[in-house]
Amino acid sequence: MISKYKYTIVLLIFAAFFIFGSMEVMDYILRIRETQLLTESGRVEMESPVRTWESWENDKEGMVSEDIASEGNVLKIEQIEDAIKCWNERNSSILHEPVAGQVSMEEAIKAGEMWLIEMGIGEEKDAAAYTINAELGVGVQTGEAGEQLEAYHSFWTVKYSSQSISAVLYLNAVTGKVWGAEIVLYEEQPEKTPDDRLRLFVELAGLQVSDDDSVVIDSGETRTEIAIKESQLYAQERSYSMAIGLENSYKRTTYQLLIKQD
Amino acid sequence: MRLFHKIFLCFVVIFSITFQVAGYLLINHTYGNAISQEKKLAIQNFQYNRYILQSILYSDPEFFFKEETEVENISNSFSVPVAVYGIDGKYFFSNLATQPGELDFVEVDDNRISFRIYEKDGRNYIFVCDYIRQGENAMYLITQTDISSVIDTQKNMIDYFQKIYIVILCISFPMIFLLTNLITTPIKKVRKATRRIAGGRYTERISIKGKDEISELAYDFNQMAGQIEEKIAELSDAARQKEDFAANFAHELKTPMTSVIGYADMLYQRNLPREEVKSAAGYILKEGMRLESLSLKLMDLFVLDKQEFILEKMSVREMFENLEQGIEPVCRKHGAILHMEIEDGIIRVDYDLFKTMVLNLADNALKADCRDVWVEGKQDGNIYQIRIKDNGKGIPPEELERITEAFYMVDKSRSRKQHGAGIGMALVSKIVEVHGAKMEIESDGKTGTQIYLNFVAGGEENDK
Repeated sequence: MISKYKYTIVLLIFAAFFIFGSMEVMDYILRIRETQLLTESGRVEMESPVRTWESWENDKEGMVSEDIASEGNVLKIEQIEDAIKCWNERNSSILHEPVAGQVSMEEAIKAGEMWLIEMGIGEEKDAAAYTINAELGVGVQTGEAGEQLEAYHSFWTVKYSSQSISAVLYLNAVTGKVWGAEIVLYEEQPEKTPDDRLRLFVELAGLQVSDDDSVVIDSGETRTEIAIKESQLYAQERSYSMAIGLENSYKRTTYQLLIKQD
Repeated sequence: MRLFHKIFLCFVVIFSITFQVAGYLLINHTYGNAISQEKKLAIQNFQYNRYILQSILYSDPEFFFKEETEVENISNSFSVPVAVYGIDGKYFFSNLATQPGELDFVEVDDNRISFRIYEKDGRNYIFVCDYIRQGENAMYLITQTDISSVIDTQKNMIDYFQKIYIVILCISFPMIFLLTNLITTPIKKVRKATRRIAGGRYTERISIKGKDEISELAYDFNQMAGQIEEKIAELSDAARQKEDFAANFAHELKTPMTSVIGYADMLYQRNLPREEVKSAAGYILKEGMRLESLSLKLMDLFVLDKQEFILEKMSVREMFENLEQGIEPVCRKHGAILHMEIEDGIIRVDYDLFKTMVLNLADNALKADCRDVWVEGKQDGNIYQIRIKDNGKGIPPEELERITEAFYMVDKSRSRKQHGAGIGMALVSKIVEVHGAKMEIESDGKTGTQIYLNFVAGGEENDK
């Protein structure tokens, strides 16, 4: 009986040996690989997601405001549209260090402070009282490959917070201009009309307002829109007030540059 | 080791290797990707916290020279545990869970960054360290990103994979067994059939299903078995013919020898009158001549098998004109009439053999007590047909197949009376074969016999 099935028994033993042996071998190889992966160290090059900025040759055609040109790098209107589109449609952002042609953190923070003063939101004496946080990032869409973008796609996100104000400003890293802002005011500030505020925002962004009238829509929150000259862009201001308890209230205002939808 | 074992083992080996290699590649790829993603995340964490630190230093360049308790308050500002050291290695701040061991502290403001993956107490971390400069301040920042959950997930995946491997193996083991059995069953059938044939059951065949290689093998096997069966039948037949031949030959020798011995003994023992001596000597002479005739015919029969004959183109009509002179008197002697109607034609023959063949056939017809013998010849396309017909007793249809066997006689007693030995038709059959012709015999056993001899007309080579 045993001799009749001896090959079958040997075969089963061999098969079992092979099955469990192959498991052990794979486990062993994976352990070696795991050790390699989990003891890795060294220095890696951090590839910047943006290229260094080489400003376009003295081609002034398409430049929006000549008087602003002296203050920093100037972009063509197409480049501005491209940068706005990329930033507004971002799903996440990749932080990176400034590359050549981009403003530094100090410059961005100072430009933001200046913007707040010029917009009449803060005063120069407040600057030291702010808690500041700044980071430089480039917007990326989901599934986008790691291809390097132009330097003007990067934005400084600078946060200022104090007793009376909380502001998040988005400054283009090449121009150093504020192209978006989220302001929360806890104290009353000298009021301007929404139209005036928006025109000032556009001017400070280094752009020119179209001759068309601004559109004001008031439906619980005030939304004002104004077209940008010779471009697909328009600026938008949205603001609303909210009460916290009986005595406290705050006003939230956002400024954005947007692309017209065809 | 049986084929079943080999196939089974092959299946198991291939299955195991494929599964494990595929699993290894998959897990290794996933593992590598996961670690790579975690490294990117750790670097992003570092980048984020570097900006936080720089912002703090921008706002307050003397921040790390404040009271320790005040410095400790910044731990909430960072998104991950961090450590801050001065260029000289002076400790400023740390909320790291563990120390990363040795890290590359490089005082170079370039775009390269140091990292280290480190395991402690079963937890895995990625430490990232770089030189940071903000205004007058320069220091090192170390961030710690916990990747234990990712590593645990990967380890769980390996365990899960091995469990799946065992489960699939448990499911597939019986399937492999059945599949192997399915493959080897037809081979077992062929083996059994082979053994039965080897045991003498030549009619054994394998039932064929499908069109795969094993079905083809079974088909070929059946063909081979058919051929063997046919050959065995032929050999049995030949052996029987030889036995019959030997028995008949002995019998044909014994009959005349008995007479010869009897008469010779009588002459030796007694003093007989002259007339009786003459009569006895006559019997001895007649039986001796019969034996001589038998031996000559047998010699012809054997010679026909061995010798090569040169066939010549000859006119059929001319041959039969000569043969008629020999056949016609014999017919007359037996009271039969010869009817000859021959179309002219050319065939390749050895004349002496041809003559022997026709005379034997005519002799057989006369021995069948016929009244008429018809000899006809005509050409039909490339065939020249000679028909020899008689109206004698005929041959029973069941005997037709055997009449070309040597010593076979339809009516033995009558044949012996007519001094026949059953060699004639065997001789005719051999001569027909030598000429490459075909012979057909028709008879109903009552109204005579017709024999057709088909030659290639025009003297062409017979084998064409």
